Amino acid sequence: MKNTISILVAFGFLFLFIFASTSIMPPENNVKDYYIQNALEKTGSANIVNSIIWDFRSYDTLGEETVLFAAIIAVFLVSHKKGLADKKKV
Amino acid sequence: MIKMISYTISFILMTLGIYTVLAKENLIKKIIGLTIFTNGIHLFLIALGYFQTTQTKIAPILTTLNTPIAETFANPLPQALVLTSIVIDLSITALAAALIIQIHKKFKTVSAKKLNRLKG
Amino acid sequence: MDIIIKTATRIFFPIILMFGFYVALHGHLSAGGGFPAGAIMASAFLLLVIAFTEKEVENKFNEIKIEDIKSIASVSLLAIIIMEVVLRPDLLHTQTPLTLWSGGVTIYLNLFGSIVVASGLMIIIYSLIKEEWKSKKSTW
Repeated sequence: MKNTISILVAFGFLFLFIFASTSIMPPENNVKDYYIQNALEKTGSANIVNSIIWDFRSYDTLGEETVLFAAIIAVFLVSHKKGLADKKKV
Repeated sequence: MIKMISYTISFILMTLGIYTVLAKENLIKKIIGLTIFTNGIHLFLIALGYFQTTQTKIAPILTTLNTPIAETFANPLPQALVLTSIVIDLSITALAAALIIQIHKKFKTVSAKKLNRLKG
Repeated sequence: MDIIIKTATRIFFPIILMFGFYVALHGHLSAGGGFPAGAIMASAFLLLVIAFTEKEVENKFNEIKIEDIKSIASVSLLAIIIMEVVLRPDLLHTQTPLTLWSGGVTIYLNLFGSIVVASGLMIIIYSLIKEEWKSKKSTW
């Protein structure tokens, strides 16, 4: 029963993705042309992906680092019951 | 043709991932399914950036000082966002693995079916 | 672990670290950048943790040291981001593009970002491998 429901849900997602990809795909956007033509003179780096993640969309990177920090702190807290402060005293 | 093959492979990966998350009892297998699902999404986004027009494209790295023609490069925006998404997927996987280790310490099982008591 | 794995780890650990630094420093010119470089450096640490025992690893690294490195690198990252507003136009005028010292402060951002990601992944690996060390001390 559970397997059948899982297979049905999975194929439902499959058809949803196929529908989305064939019908409501976004057209080619102009922001790509802006990034490619202005990356070298505005940021100086030849790698356009690098110039996007550190310059044009730096706030995304900042949020991503925050998520990574939160995950690290959570892993630390989950796997150590004592914590860092008690360990330093011993 | 190769466009539809890429999309189909990413859809198959996503379907397998969702099925694995829903159907399997083992928590480790659930994490593996989540990772497969995320990798399918990443492949789909990268293919979407590559196949926007029919001509073949090169990686978005400039090698000369001439003014670049935007049509010859792949779309760099999905690649940058997928790079963000990979790190977030890694954080989720690490946190889930740490939680599963603690669950196995406390309840001596990693099966989701045997973990049905809510107290404690 | 085996003597073969230990010797190979002693040879390969600095090479993998050096390759990680190469990817970080060359990230604004070729494929790569801060996050892949951090993942490469953390994989070197993963090899170290797998090959050696608990005491041998804890002589070189411990969590408090790695946490300090991560804090220093992230504070430097924030300081560079604040300085970037002032420094970037001046640096861009003086540097020639498509060489190593180009791109303003992007090279420092890549370097410190890679150190932050590497130490973060090191802490995750360390926390997960510690359970293994606790559970069966005889094998590893």
